[in-house]
Amino acid sequence: MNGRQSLMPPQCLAGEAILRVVPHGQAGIEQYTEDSLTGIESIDKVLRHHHVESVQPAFRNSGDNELSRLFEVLTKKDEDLEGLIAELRDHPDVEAITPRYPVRSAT
Amino acid sequence: MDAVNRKMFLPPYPIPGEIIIRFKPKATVAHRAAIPFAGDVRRRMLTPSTPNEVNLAHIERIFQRSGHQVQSITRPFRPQGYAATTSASAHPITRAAYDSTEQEAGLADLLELQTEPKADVERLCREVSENQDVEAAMPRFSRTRFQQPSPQYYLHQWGAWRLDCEDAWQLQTGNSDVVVAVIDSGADPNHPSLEPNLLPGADHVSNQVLGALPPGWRFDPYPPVRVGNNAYDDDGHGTHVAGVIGARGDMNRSVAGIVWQCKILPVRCMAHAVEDTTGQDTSIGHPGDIANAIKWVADFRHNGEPVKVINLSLGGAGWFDPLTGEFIGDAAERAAIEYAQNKGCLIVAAVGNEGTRWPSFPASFPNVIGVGAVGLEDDLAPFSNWDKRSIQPAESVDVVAPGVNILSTMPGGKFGFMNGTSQATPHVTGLAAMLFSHNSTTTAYEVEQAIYRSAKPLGGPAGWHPYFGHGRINARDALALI
Repeated sequence: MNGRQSLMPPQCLAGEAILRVVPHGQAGIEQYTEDSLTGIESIDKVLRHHHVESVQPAFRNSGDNELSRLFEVLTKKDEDLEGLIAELRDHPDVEAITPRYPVRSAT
Repeated sequence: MDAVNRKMFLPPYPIPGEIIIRFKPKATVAHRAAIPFAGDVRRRMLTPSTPNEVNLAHIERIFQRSGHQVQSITRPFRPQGYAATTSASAHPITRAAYDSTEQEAGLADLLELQTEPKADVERLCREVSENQDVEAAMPRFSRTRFQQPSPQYYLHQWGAWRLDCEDAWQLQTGNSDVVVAVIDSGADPNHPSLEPNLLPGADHVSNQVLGALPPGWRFDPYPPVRVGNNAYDDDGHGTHVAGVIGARGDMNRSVAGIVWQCKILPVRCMAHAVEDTTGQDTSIGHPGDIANAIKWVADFRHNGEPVKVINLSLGGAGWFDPLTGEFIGDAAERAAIEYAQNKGCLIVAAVGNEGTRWPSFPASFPNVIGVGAVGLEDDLAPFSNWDKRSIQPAESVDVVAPGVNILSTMPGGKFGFMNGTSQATPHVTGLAAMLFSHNSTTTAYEVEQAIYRSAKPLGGPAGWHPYFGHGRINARDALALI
């Protein structure tokens, strides 16, 4: 019973965070792509410091203002994610930033 | 427990204003008169015979004493060889029109009387029965189908017993206009018990899932990302969950879902994975894929109808924010859920199988029905997570449902047992689909409240309990509230 997931401790996904920008911060952050980490200057600095590799929209076809404020932040796998989160969470353009966790079936 | 032969719960309501009278064969009165066949006249519009015309004045006086009128008198049987007529030309039938076989069976001695709908027909029948020409007078009762699933499988479906589904199925087995999304590992499109109800579905597993694999595990099959967009299930979990919700209970050799006719939209966003050293397996997903799948489902339409319920028999940890002391679920998942909720979707999610009070997401997001698991005796399953709201901000457990030794569909046309809050969750989802089927105008909030209010409190007096939430769900009682 319940053997299928007992060996898997909850562990956040290495090098991944989810970021929600404040409504007026969206225009700047949309400039981030896999090839370009230049958008909002004060955020750029933090991203470079933490070796962020890309900042991309979380929804493939959002079409919705709320959903389009969400971005996936990918760093190197061994990056100090907590440090990145601690620096960005108080940024005026950032509403929230958290690590991500894997999802498992509940059987 | 004799699950198959239990009594139906529907109370025997008399049909308003209708009485059937059987006269004694040698009676000298009414039934010998010319009276039209009931099937030839329109209900509520007929005045084919008056009591005086057919010598039933003594019966009419009984009605009048109670403040009612006999509105019509008809015969319930058409004589053999009697051609059907239209309502405009309904013509009377005498007792002599029936042949000897029909008369011997008493068909010619029966008359139907129609009075006002508000009349106390049971009392009128008692009084009419005292007449010397009357052998019996009785109210009439509506008939329903006795919906029973295949006994050899239903014998093992204790979850449906617990929900009093046999009673509920007499009223509602689901409506094909109601679409339920199962966001999981997909579903077997060829399983005979599911195939009639399955929509094509979609695959939302992306390359993101590669980052969700824990050390020591591998995806099987590899790669987990497919070329084509299909929701075929290579894990089995989604097929099992889909069967609990909506397997065709009206088929031979099949388990019965909580609903039998609702449409199921399988969305694959979990990939099968195996632990190398122990061989244990599970399905794993990425919150980004889950979020995009929820968004896709919220935008989906089937024959113009949106998805009513989303089943999430899955979950993951939240981030403990040391500054606020709160657990925070994935922001993209939360946004997608709110997006779906704003479109009228009800979200049902498993609270997780760690046997702890730590919150699991998406079950702990606001307005998501978090489902824990109970066993046969309504005992909390040892693996079922719980919560304690006095110290824990997340609100995980809203209700509990059967989640131990649950029989359902498996890939390859098979059936099998599984355990988990994953199995408890589709019982609630199926019930929500049943309620949406029963009243097409009801809202997600009303369905949610009906599920909570009809739940059987466990672990103490009525009210919320940290292990059981509002209690164990009940389909029969929830239907009564919709």
